[in-house]
Amino acid sequence: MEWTSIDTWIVITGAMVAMACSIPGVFLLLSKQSMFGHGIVHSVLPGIIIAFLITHSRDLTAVLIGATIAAVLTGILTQWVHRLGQVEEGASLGVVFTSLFALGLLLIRVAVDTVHIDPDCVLFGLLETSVVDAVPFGEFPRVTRDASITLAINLLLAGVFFKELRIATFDPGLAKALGFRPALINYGIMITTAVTAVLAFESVGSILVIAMMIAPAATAFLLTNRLGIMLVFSLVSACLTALTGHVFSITVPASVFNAILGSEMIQSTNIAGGMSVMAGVWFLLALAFSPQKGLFAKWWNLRKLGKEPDNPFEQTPAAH
Amino acid sequence: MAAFALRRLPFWLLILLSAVAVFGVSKQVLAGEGHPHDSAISQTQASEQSGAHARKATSFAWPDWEKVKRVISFRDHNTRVVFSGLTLLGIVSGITGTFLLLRKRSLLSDSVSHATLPGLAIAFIALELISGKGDSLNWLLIGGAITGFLAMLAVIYLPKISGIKSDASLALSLTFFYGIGVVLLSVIQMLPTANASGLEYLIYGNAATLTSTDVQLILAICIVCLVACILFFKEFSLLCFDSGYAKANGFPANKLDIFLMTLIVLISIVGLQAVGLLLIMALLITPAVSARFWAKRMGRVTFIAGLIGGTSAFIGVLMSSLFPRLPAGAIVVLTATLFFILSLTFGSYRGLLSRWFLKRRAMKRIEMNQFLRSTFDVLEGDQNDCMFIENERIGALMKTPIVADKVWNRRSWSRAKFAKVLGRAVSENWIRLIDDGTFILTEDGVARARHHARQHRLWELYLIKYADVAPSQVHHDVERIEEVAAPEVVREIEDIFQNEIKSRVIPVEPHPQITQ
Amino acid sequence: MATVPFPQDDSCPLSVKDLTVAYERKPVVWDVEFEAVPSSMTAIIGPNGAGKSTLLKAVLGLIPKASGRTLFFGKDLKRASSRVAYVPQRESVDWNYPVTALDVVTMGLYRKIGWCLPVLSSHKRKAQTALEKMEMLAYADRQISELSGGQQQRVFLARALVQDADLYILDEPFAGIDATTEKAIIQILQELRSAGKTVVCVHHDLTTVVEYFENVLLLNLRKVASGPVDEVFTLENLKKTYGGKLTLLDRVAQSLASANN
Repeated sequence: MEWTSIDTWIVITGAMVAMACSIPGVFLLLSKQSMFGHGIVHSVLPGIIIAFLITHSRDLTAVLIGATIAAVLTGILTQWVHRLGQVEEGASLGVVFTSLFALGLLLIRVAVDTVHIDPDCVLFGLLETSVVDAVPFGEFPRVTRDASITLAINLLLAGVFFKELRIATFDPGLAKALGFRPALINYGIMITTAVTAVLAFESVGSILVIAMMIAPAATAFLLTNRLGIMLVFSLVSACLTALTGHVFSITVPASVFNAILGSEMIQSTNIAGGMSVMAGVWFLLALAFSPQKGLFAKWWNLRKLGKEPDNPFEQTPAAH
Repeated sequence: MAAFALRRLPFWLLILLSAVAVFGVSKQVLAGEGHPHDSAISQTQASEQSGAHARKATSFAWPDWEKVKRVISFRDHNTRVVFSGLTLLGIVSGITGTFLLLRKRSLLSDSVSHATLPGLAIAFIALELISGKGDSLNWLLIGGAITGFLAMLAVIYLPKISGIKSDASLALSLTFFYGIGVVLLSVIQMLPTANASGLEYLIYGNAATLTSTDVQLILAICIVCLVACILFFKEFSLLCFDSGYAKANGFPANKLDIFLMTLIVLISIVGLQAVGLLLIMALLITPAVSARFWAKRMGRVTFIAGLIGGTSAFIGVLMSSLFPRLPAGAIVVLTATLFFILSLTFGSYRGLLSRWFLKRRAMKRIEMNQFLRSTFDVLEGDQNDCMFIENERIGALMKTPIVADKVWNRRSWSRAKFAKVLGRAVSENWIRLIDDGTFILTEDGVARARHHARQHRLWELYLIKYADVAPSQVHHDVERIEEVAAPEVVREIEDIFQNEIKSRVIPVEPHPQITQ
Repeated sequence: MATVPFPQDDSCPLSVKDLTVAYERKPVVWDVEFEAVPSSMTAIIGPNGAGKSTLLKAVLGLIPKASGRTLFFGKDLKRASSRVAYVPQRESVDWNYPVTALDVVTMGLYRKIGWCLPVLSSHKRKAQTALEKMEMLAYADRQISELSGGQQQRVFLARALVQDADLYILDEPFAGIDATTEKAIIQILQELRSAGKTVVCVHHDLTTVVEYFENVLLLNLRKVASGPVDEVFTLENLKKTYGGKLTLLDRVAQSLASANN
């Protein structure tokens, strides 16, 4: 294994994407809409196809606009079905995004005759190719630039609307009473998620986007009880995930399978996949060793409780 | 004991019969060697494979009559195979999906079907290494089932041990397992001998390539799930409604839960090759969601969900075999979506239109009640005391002319609206107009006005007396106080009411009217 | 307070020993030891967040215990489940679920009907009888969200009645219902007690404790006291349970005084 400048760029880009995704991810997690990221990654398909049909080109701006519209539509339709039809939120997301995805598949078959559009190229952008296309030629990779801009905008939004976001995700009822319009804020979260996801997965692959929308936020959730710190932790966790994920994907599968096969034919594997595996691993580590909510800590506390009974309550009651 | 068993005999016979019937039909359908090039569907397949130019040539042509006849008569072996497999899959996923929906775990199917990927890939690699042939379908599916099952366990137990919410545990296990799958797929691409096309069919689904053996597997799994859903119908519905009660009642709720979810894993697995990794979840969710708009009881909902699932699958396969360009999986899902939109709009139980009509009717009724009540108040204002007048004086009430403006003064309605209500009151024969500005009540009108004036005052007394709990007792569509308060409460309030009238300690109206 | 020897015989409907439940690091129910007196009505009372419902759920095995043992009639819940009827909090279920009131009551018979066997008309008749007892027969075919809060509670109680159990465990049955339903429910419970059944009930209204119950368990994370109402339900114990919320206690003092007179 050799570490080249390409690897550095991959890690930087991965970290940028991961951090950009983890910010809306925190608020999706807190407002119990974690599957939304997964939903829109699929439901943008008809938007992309229609944009393509209108412009007759694979122009990125048009594709982005089409995809964003479809993504926002997913959010709105999900809310509609949930409210109007009294359908549970998860189920309504399921109905909406599978329908849109199926519509996209149908459009590909029926309408897109001349140029080949593969659902693959929508769903599996490759982080490594988008970096390799630029770095060896001394260019600053477009992916990295886009991801940094997205990250900056998301950070700015989270900073400016911090208290609104906190109250809307914590207690929509209270937010409404205070005049904050939680529905509007929720749409804001959805739109941010949609734009971030569309920008990112076009270049790095959908799996990384979905993973980064949830895993760093969930890891951070296990480590702290405060929103500000949770945001910071999820950014840190996203960076770590990008680094370890890349290292994982260029070493572990290769050495395992080469050992099994007794050959050298497996080299570096899909990096986005590796990063999402590592995102899960970091979550599991946090689940085991978090000082407050970790399984080990819980077990330890129970043991301590068993050892010294009565203690915490001797002074508690008549203190008023 | 014998009598006990005998009484349930019809039930057992029913189950036995349905199992035999499904089995028999499947035998019938699958009987005989298929000639793959002799069917409408495999012709489709052939034209698909002959490249872009051929595709353009066949681009969306209407099928000729010969082909329609061929498809509809199920003459071809392969047509029969695909139709029967997918339709049964649709029915059974509709039924199991209902339990999934009511357990509030709809998106579990999403995580499970994505989590099959690493299992498929591992099985593929293992088969490549052992036999050099990675597309032995059964082994692939077993591999997929194992990781799918693990993901299902992760989804269920993560919230319990970590405190994260269930939506987050769904997304986490999805990305973790799918990530492993993606890594393994890239390993497979580097294997020199591997031809991963078999895997791709599993990921995107291709109904047209289903063979007899595939459909046999689908049928077997579907029969297992169907029988399990029938046998455990009441246990599953109790689990979904009130799992705590089920547990306290001695049911092994956790095991039952895992069992139910295992059925979902099985359906997802056999659905993979038919409609693909993503769209199988639509077959599990959409029919169940749609069915809830039509019925208020578990049995009906399940039945309708099965019906919708089966019909969607049938129509999907029909369309895609008539129009070769259309992908079967997507059409199946879109048909189900169409059913969903129809159910959401026209559903007889909770559909938008039926709810809108109910609301409109209730509004009209309430308006009429308010109008008649105000009329009664006006009458009372003129006559001082007619709440409890004797029957013989009703005649007198009927003869008293009422000035419409006085009634209008008591309501906050616009002129136009008041005129509308007045018109309706005339046409429904509650009142009779004397001249432009006055009217009298008819006999029915007096009765209804009296009834509602009484109800209204009972309501107000009830709300005052039980201010702490009353709001939680009121639900939609209540009108008569007897519907809400227990009989004893009604009696109690009536007593108070009568006393107030008799003793005249408190004014008849519990609160002063602003317009008076 | 003296520790009672842990009985093994089947006369004691419910005995709880050394029960501790912990969420994360803080215990929410601590070392509770308690025995229900046969053929009596026991109230579990304590301030909000004192762990009353948690205690019941842990006793019934619905949430994991950190330690402790609970026996029903001298046996594990698994072996005694046919003798125990549980009425959960009203909020614990989805009232939009597609079942009718009659269906819910029939659920009380599912265990008796047995695995995989269908509900027969004889079972439905039993359920109807229970509904009739709760004066709810007219609403048997309603979907449960079309019932008022009190009616929903009556349906839940009918479901427990149809089980024909020996121990009835109720979680806040009087929350958010009207006075008459409360009276009707208490009347049914008292009938059960007279028929030799045992009732354990989480209760939040201190003013009615003396009137309704003869035994009481005062709980605030740990057990403060338990025993007959006239011995245990004293101002001193209540102060230990509720801390210094005097206005509340004043009212109880009044009700105690009026009960004594």
